[in-house]
Amino acid sequence: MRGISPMKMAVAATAVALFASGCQSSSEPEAGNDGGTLRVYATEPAGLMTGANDSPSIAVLRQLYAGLVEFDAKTGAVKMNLAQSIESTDNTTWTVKLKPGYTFDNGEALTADSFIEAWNWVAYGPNAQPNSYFMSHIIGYADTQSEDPDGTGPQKAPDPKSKTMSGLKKVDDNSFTVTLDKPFVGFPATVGYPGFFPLAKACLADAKKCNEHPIGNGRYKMEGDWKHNVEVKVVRSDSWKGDKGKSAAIQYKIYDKNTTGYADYQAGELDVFDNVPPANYKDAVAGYKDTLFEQASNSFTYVGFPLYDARFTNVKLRQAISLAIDRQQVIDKIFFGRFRAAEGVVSPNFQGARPGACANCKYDPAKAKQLLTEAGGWTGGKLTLWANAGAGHAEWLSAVGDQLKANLGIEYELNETLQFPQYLQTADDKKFTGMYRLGWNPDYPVLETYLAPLYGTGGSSNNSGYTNKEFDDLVTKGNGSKTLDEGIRFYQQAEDIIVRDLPVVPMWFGKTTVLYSKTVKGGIPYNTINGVELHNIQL
Amino acid sequence: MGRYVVRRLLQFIPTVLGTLFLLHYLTSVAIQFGGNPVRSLFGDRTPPPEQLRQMTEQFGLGDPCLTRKGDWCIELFGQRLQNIFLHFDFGQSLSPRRDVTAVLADALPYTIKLTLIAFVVEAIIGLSAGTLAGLRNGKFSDYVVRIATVLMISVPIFVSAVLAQKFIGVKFGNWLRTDLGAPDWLGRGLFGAAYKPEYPFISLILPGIVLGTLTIASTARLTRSSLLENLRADYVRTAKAKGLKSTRVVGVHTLRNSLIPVVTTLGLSIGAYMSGAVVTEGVFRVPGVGFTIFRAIGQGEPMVLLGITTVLVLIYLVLNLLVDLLYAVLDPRIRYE
Repeated sequence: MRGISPMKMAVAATAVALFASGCQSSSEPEAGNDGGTLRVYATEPAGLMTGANDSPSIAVLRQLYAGLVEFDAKTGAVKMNLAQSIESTDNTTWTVKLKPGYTFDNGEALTADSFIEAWNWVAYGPNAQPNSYFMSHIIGYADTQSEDPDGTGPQKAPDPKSKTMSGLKKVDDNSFTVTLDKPFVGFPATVGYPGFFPLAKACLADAKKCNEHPIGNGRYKMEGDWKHNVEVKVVRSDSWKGDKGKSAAIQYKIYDKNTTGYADYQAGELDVFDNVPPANYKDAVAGYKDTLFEQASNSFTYVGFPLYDARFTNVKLRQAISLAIDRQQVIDKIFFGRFRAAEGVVSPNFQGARPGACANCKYDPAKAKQLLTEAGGWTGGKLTLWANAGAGHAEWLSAVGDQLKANLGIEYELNETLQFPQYLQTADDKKFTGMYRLGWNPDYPVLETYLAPLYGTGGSSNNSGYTNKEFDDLVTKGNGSKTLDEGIRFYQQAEDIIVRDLPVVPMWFGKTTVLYSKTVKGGIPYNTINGVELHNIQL
Repeated sequence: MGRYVVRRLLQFIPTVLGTLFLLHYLTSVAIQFGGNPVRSLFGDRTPPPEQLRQMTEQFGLGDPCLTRKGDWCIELFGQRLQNIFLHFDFGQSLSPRRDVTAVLADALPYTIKLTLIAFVVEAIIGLSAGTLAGLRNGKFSDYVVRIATVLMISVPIFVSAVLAQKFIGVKFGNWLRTDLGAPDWLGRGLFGAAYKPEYPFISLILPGIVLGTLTIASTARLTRSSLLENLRADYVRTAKAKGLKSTRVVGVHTLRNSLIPVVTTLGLSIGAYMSGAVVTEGVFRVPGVGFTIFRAIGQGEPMVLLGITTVLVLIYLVLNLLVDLLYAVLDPRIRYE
């Protein structure tokens, strides 16, 4: 029987090889009893360099790094952290003074360069960091971006003119200046965002490696490399001089499906689970009411008007539509109370938010009808309501449509055909043929973040095409105020214009729902700006 | 035999190229109609056009053919082939941004382990159930096997995976862990609701069994019918007449001959596992190939899909070749020249 034994050998060898590779075990030491290991639900971060702007990345970055400022858990007010002071006489050139003596986990001293180099790196176009645009108000940002010679043509874009922004200048090791392209009183608040965290020289020398094993300067430091799709583990850092994290380690367990996370929470594998699947929400609230934490979050959902479409230019029509929507009913019936109805266009958690700021966000069908009549009725045919495909928006949008039909007699149809990227592109290109749902999350805790980008003339995410000089002027005045409190007064006036003109129908703000394990002592500490403060959870 | 293997290896080339092109075309069409996946990295925030363009180019999605609906993108396909086969450059995944080769190297061991468990489960349970049913044709145990297999075939894997997770991993597991105080490896490892890195093998057994149920039924059925057919064959009657022990008649003479069609399905089931893994790995949080494919489809990442599929197709082809060669081991009459 020739040929048999080599065959058998080959099969056996393959089997052995497969088994060998299959049986590698990686046992993992348990953390000591000095606070235990906090096991947290997470999804795969997009990156662990400071340029990442997705929430799973930020949740890790906030523990690994410390920034110039932090935010008060209750009021959201700016508190100095690594910075001694951030001051300016004209709101344009800001002088940052650092507290001396801080270091990175690798022992490297934290100096003005740590910030300047990090910000330049994040801004530099070819590094392709999502947070790059955060630096766009620093003088010299444009030089760090390359310009394409031929649009979408085949020619590769040349390298940018400069790797550094001229608006960042080192004064000495403990201070530097930042020059903005226009005055902004809220600048000190912006630098609390992860995009403005410092980076060590050793990290920038090999950014790819640093992305897998960050060198931080915060309460916790990396333990081992980032285990992709499995976990990121951080342990309490001895080099951090401020208040220590309560648990000895935080283990971010990475899931792809929140249903799996929910099963693992039920099986006792998670201490903090903040992504309850909508289908399980009712059960979760009923079954875990002792270990459930809920708090209004800052994520804003709205339904925009395409003001580039003549049918929607009448203000009274827009007010009528907003008044005809019973937000609370939609929230209760479809979402079992998972949201908080919008009373304005800024988060209720922010300094300067006013309950009831939006008179047109109440449910008043009689007034809505009257306004519609004054506007000359709806003659635009079927009203199209847009949403991106497959993301579960159809149900609530058709509830909104049904209310419009019942209260105003406007026939509607849903368009839920576009995939998310195409949908966003359509929004960017201003090609919607009806009302469209979109959302917004703040970048920094200043009211301006809810106003200028969305409704300012030429605002970065002004998808409705709204433009109003009075509004722009008020925002500019606010930005140029002497103090933030003074600025808030102007921002509030600007908000009043938006809730009157309604370029978008404000729908609701999110709620953070956290399920926690019985071993968590004293509930969930929550920061109105950053969300759950993982480092303050006591096991 | 050597020549046969070479001929089969040569056939791999058009198969791999064809699969790659199909996938390349489908992912290109997905971008042409669904939009640039890089844009969705920014979400509700409109990125500066310059930044968007730069990132799109870096991820190899800047070719203008991707904006022309229905374009075959032949030039882009050529480029990708060159990158993959000449420079061994599989491109980068979007989020997180990593080399596809690294993504693949991370994911593959999990899926191999999972597939192996599923394979062993399928082979042991499927073969023994099929043999039992075949030998006791028309008796109670035959009916049990036949009904059980029909049930297994009719329950899709996403249902069985979720049910197993909920009732075995959560409900039964919680009872074990809290009421019985079972040891950690048993309560959390074997009967956990999801994969755990601290139990890299034990916690894969439950998902592996779920994956194995995909094909247990067809294996059992095939073994049963093949065995029945051979039991009635002349040579078996002769063997019995010669007075051979029944274990030898069944074990050596009948089973060995009955296994030839079964080996084919066992080989093909590896392919079924690869697709089943997409569901099972997702449900049980096993960061393997299926998990990665599922994510890549969701995020619209052509390079990850292309890279992983190239490797999967190769694995599948090699395994099938091994299966074909195994025939010669089972049946000396088969020769490859």
